[in-house]
Amino acid sequence: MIRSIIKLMKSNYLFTLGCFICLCWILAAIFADFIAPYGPITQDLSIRLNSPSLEHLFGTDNFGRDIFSRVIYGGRYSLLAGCVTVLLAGTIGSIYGAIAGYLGGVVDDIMMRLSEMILSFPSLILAMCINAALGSSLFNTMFALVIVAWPTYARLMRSVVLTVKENEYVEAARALGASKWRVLITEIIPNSVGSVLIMATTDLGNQILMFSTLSFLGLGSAPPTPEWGMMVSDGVNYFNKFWVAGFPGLAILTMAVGSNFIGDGLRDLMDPKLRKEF
Amino acid sequence: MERLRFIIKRFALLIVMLFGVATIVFVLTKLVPGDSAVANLSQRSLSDPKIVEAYKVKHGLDQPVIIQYFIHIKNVFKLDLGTSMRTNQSILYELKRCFPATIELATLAILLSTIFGIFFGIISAMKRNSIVDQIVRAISVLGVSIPSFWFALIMLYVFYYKLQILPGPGRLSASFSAPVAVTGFYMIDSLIEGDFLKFIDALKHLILPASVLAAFTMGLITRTTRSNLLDVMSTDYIRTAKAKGLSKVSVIVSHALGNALIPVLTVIGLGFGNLLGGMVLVETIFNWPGLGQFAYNSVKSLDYPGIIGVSLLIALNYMLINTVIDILYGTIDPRVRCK
Repeated sequence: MIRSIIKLMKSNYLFTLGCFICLCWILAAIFADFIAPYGPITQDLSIRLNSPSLEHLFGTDNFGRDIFSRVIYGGRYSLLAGCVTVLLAGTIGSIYGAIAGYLGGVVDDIMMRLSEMILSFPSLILAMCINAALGSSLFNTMFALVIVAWPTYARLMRSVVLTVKENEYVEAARALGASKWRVLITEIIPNSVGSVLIMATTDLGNQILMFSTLSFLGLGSAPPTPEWGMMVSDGVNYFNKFWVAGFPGLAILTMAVGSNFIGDGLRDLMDPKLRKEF
Repeated sequence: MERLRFIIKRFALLIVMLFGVATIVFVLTKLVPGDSAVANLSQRSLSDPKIVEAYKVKHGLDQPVIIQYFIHIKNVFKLDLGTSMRTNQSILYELKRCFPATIELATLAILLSTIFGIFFGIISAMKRNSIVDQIVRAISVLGVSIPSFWFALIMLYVFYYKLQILPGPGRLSASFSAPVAVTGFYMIDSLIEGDFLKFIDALKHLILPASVLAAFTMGLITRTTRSNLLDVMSTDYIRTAKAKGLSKVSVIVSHALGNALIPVLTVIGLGFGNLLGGMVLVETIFNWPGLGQFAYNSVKSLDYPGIIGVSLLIALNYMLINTVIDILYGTIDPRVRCK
């Protein structure tokens, strides 16, 4: 597996770039205490809204806080929220969708309509309502994101399973006497996870975006926590000071781009059909 | 006949689901902390227990929760969504006012994203691993990765503030008055009025917000089209088509595209639903008087009837789109017909 990934890194530059970007952010988040030159909430009103310079690489915000340091520390929150949400929502949604698609009939109808009820809700408004109900905190924001995200996985997994279960090898497994659940676990799910995998890696970026959006709207942790979305929101009031909103926005963008590049590369790696020349 | 039964069943399920959504909305409003009377009544009225009691009796808040639930469901199906605490107008009136602005914006956004998404997806798959493929993939990844609130600010900063080639927030420039509402869509209404300049101005105002909204869905459609096309291209029937000596373009257009676009249909449907619900930020930043801005203002001022109304409308739209797509699925793909 590691050899395949190294081979993929040599042949797919976007995947390599994605790995590099994500690795940088992970390392920056872990070693933020050593990398950041200033504290994330250290204020100095005498240098408020200073443009980027050698002392303050990304400039300073309206409280004179160093934006570079805040961006570095902000990575911790975004990465944590994105990874936990995708892991939980992906697992719950995939199992749910696979069962619905495989069993079919009334069970499928009931399960999918239930997931569609949540899916049909405007996700941002639902997440905002859940946050309002539970109170704003990092944990509650992640909980709201999982509730909103899992039905998408369920729907995708179900649509893939509907096609996969008609394949001859599934029929062969059944003819060999494999039980319903064994066929689902050993034949259908492994052959359906490819699409879910690409969705999950793409979704990591989405969840980081969604988390930033909630934080932009003031529904994440309380200020002065250095969350990227909240920092962009601070910059809206200083339209002509591009660095206040610009650099935190770039951080969100690079993190999301990195995870999407990895998702694309992994899909190529996991799917032997795609390795063949077109 | 079987097909008709499927469609009727699907629409019957829609009503059941609407019932479910109304239930979720009710549960959510009960979960949100805070007393509705405190939120609705002035400080002066709150100090008088009689007024508070009368308010609770009027809105059924003195009843047990289960009775409140039945009152809520009855009101939803009677289309009695109450009055906005923020604007003092009926919610139905507010939704009717905001809906056309949102639909106009979402339609242009989904059109842009579908046309460019499918086109880029096909090009990317045809030129797999070439420099063109890498560029298209990079653009599509940027599309799905860019934070819409940040992208909106950048677009405004570049095209409105710096270059001044496109108009800023709003649906029309200050020099134009709103067209007489026939459909509520400014582009169509200005054409009905016969004012071509107003039509152009309305279109110009749509470009920036629609592009911001389209970026995400376009990226998603490009990626889905590319990956599905590549999947389909490795199947036996395509190998047969190639063995017959058909050109690459002919193989893709006549044989591969039909099957490859089926999952894309889901992405378009989900994308349209998400656009309707996800334009909170874009409409707020572009001062677009649609459902998104109404939802944002409702949440900001804790206007519960407003939140309920807008959630129900967007949910209903989303379910309608899903139902239509499920029916289309059966029509274009015999393998999943009536399953």
